[in-house]
Amino acid sequence: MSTVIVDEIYNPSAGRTIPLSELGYQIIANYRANYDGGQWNPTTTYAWVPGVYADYTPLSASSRIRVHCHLSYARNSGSAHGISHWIFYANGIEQGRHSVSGQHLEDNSVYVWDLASWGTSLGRVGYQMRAYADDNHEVRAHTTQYWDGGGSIQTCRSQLIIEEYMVGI
Amino acid sequence: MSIVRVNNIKDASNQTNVSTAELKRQVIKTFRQTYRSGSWLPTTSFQWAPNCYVDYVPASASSRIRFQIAMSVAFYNAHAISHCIFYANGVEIGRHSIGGHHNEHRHLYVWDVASWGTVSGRIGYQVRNYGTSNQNVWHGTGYWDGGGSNQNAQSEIIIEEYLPI
Repeated sequence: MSTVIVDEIYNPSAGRTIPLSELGYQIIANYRANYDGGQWNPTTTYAWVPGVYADYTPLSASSRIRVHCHLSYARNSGSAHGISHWIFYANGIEQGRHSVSGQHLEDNSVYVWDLASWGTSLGRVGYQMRAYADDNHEVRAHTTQYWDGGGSIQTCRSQLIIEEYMVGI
Repeated sequence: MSIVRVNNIKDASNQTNVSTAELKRQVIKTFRQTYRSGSWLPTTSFQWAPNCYVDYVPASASSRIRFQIAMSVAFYNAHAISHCIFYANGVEIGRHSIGGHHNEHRHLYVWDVASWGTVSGRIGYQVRNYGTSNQNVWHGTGYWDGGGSNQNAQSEIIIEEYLPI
């Protein structure tokens, strides 16, 4: 193990002096996953949303974990007013909750959560979801309702990105 | 050229202690573009949406490209629907719709893709509307200040190309 103690580093090719304090914010681990598994039908009981959670082991107990959840959703055919409820968990602890609803609503959204590491043990981070009710309020994840002038269900890719970083600045 | 090989770097006050292993993940190139040129009404054929794409040359063939776009979409007809396909260098990465009744919103979309090499490639969205009676207007608004006023809604693209850990 070797350590250099300096306040600045000079990069001759860039002609730039970098204060060491600028290096304090560093991503030390990341996780990426695409989900192409097609539409998912939430029931009226909370369940983990496919492609929008991961079992993750932090590299450090003193880091922070930033999670980007990127997914599409639509109303179910025949459900004019789709309503869904979402709860974001990290290692068994609820971080927050929200709803997504609207008349004939369909979209793709990015949800970002930033939380403290729970230690260097395996924990699940991501969303649980349920529909408000069956029939007129059902929703579907990872899909569309309409497409190209018709009612066509497309498979929508979702992405989950986890970036674990040290808070130096 | 001088190289010092170390495992850690500290500052003299010991406020910052960086493992050099943590320095692998670096943003190596960025691109930003702002659009203030007014609203756009997509047709019913897929087209490159104004300011929703960039012709980009990656700095590295082994990097990843994070594409972030923030833009406004509003209803033009009461039930408005657009379809969006995201491409990187000619390859479809994903697709989704934007629809609703009297919807209007500023959207943030993020896509993270592998570099396609150090040649120019187009990255961004092609868009169409569902039909001529179900249209969204892009980069605009539906309502404003108590009336039906189409505002010029600014949109922004940020690309960060980075070397992954």
